[in-house]
Parts: sequence; structure tokens; C-alpha cells
Amino acid sequence: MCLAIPAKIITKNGNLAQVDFGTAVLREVNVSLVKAKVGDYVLVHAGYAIQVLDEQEALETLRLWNEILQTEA
Amino acid sequence: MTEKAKFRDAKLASRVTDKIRCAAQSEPTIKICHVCGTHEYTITHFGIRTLLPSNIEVIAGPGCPVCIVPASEVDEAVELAQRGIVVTCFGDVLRVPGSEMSLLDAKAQRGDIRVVYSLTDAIKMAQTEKNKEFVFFAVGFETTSPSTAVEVANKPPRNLSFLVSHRLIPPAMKLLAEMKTWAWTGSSHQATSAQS
Repeated sequence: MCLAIPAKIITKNGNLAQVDFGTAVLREVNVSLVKAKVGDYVLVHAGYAIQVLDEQEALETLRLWNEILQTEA
Repeated sequence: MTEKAKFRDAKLASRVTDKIRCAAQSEPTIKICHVCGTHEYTITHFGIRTLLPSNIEVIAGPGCPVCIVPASEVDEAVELAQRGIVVTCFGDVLRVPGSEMSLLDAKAQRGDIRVVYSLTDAIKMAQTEKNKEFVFFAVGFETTSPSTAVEVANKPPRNLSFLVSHRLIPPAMKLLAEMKTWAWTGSSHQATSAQS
């Protein structure tokens, strides 16, 4: 119950989507809590997508890590 | 996500841990408490504690909403099952003890208690078995409560009710803040709900 797992939206019909958790088996997930489109990655918890994963945000996080490491000589 | 967003980077991890070791060198014991099941899984799975210097302790705090479900609320779910109502719940709440028994014990005594992965499964059951009364035992922190809320707002089946046992993270964090902890990390998925 505690885990939320990323999955890619393959098809979407209203509040339901078929998603791929990387196992090539598609599962149905409720996407009514997020604004997501086909091709987006979402975080899935107990059958509901709770967040759309933003690639730009992920890249920014990585950039910040590198910046922290480069400062403080 | 594409190959660009690479978080599993051994070189980056090595540089970060060197930096942490350097910064923590002359410090007394530093305690960092997290309150998230996914954090603990990630920390254990990737051996993060072994990467840190011995004076940094990562403590698993009370991140499990199931673990803090009061016995009285389990008793309510058990009583509903004993009255012939179908009780649907997440698997991890099945063994939580009430004052007399757990839901698993009640199931052994012929209570119709059904484990579901998702509230949507409970809704489908209620829609299919219209002659029965269903209850969903809604546990979870802010990560889970939005999914309960969205279904309550979307006119659930008339034969489905909700026994609400959701909990909030901030009061638990406030209690931790009063203890001698240097830092704490919020539950990652709870934060997704908070920022929404």
C-alpha cells in the first residue's frame, strides 16, 4: 500500500487509462486525480495516478545535485 | 522519462557520498528521520545506510498509516463484518489487531472480508453484487485519501459506504520535531498530494 510506482500511459479513455509499469503487461488505472495524456509517466498508488512525472523537474533535480557538488571548492 | 533523466548514476552517487562524509566529519551523531514506506524501501534496496558515515543515522519513522490505525476503528470494521456487511480493505490492514480480533480473525469466523488493491475494485464489487451492502475501510495518509475523496464525490454505488480511517502526516511530523532529531524528510508521495 505504501508504494507508488511510475507507469507510462498507453491509452486513455476519460478517467481510466491503460498503463505500462515496464513489464509490458497493461493495467487499468484511474487518472481522475491528475491531468495526464497518452505518453506521460504517472505515479500510481493503489490503482490511482497521483502525480504526473515531469521530466523537466527530474532534470532540474539532477542539475541541482551537480551544482551542489561543484560549489564549495 | 527518457535516458536524460538518469538518477541511477554511480559516479554522481559516489561524489555525493564523498561530500556527505566530508561535511559530517567533525559532527556528533546526526539523526535523520523519514516517515515514508517508499523511502525505507528505497533506502534498504539501494543500501543507502551503508554509504553513509557511521555518525549519520537514518531512522524509519511512523510512516505507515496502517500501523497507527486505532484498535477501536478495527473493532468498527469487525462489527460491520459480523453484521453481514461486506468489508473491503487493503491487504496490510487485515492483520491489525482490534481489541478482540483482527479482520483476518473475523474472516476466519465467516465474515465476508475482501482484500482489494484499489478502491475501484470495491466499487466494481458493489456494482456487481447489488443485493449486498459493502463498506470500504479507508486507511492511508494524504497519499491515499484523495482517491477516497474523488470516489465519494463521484456518486459511489448506493450500496457502498466508507469507514474512514485516514490520517494526516503534519501532526506526526510536529511530534517528531519535538524530539531530538536533526532533520526529517517528509513522505514523498504525501507531498505530491500536499502540493496539489
